[in-house]
Amino acid sequence: MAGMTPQDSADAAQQAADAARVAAEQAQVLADHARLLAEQASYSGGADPLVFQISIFVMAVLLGACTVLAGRGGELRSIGAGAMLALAVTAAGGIVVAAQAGSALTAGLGLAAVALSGAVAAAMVLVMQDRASGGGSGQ
Amino acid sequence: MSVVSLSILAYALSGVLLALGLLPFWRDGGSRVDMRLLLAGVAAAVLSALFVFGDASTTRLLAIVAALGGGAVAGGLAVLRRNSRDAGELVPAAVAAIGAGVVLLAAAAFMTPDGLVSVRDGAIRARDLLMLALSAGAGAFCCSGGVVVALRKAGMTGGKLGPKVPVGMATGLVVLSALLALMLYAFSQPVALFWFVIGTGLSAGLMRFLPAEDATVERLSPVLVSAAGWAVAACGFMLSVLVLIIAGGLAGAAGAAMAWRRASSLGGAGEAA
Repeated sequence: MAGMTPQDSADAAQQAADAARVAAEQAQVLADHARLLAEQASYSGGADPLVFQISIFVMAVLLGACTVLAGRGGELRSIGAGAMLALAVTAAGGIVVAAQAGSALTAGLGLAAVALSGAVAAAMVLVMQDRASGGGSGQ
Repeated sequence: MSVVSLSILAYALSGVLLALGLLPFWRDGGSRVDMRLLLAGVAAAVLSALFVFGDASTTRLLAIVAALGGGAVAGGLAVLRRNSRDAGELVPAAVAAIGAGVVLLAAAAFMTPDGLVSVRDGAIRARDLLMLALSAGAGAFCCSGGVVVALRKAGMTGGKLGPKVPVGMATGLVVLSALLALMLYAFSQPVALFWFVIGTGLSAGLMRFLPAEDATVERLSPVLVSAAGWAVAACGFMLSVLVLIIAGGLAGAAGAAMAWRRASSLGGAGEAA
């Protein structure tokens, strides 16, 4: 390295250090990107979200049908009430709409759905409590 | 732990609680369900939904909690004011309320789809549009049919309310043609077609349950539960909310199986099918 002044050597060292830092940053960005992709893949089970949703739906359908068909007695209103209580989770859909809606009107529609679900859940709870204590007339 | 992981855990917990609540029904041959576990499952699902959207404005979160509490108070008072606590009377009313809720959610998604459903080039994507139409139509059917059946079971009307006409096939054709019309023309999303689907669902419920005999209404009550389940499931696919898909699938299949069992025991399998 004949002819290089100490200043030139310092500049070259500085450039090498900068290049190494940039390379490290790029590697870090790539690693973050890979980690993000891995998290997304694990979140969706590595499959299309629609396929995942349909799989869950089919399992729920089979579970619901088998539960009723496996019951021996004629007591079907209990499961009907239980199913309605499960449907009261429509509140979850209303919460999604109310929280994410872009306009006040849409949020109001979501809130109305939440209120309806709350009414259904409360009514079902009272009826089933009454039945459990033997005060109800429905069987 | 991230918010997504926590919400998935909470949803899984709610699913386990709901399954455990239904377990006694299965184990004891259909005698009862464990309401405490079912309630805990529902509470976990609702709380997890609230938790996921914890970054929403405080005003909206408060409004959601207030709506939930207000609805619960109204529903509780409505039951307490009645002497009869017959679940057979209440289920059709509950179906009507759930159907109305699904229609409201579909209307909200139709009016401002951004952030709620998949949108491409300013238009709702075909898959979500189909689910929106299904949830709106089935929800409207549940709403009108549930109201009619609830009124008849509560004794507020006497017997059948309309002329006895063979409406089953006609109703099916009308609903089918409405859905086909929507699929053919709705890509431009004219509002009139959306309300046409809702009107068709409402009229289908009225046409099916108004002229029916009391025995037929009793036999077809589980069909209302089943329809409400499918409406909720379609709503879940539309909004990509897993808990709605699970609850809708469970209730839809359970209602259909109930209808099939009841029809089989009464010798009316053909009509229920």
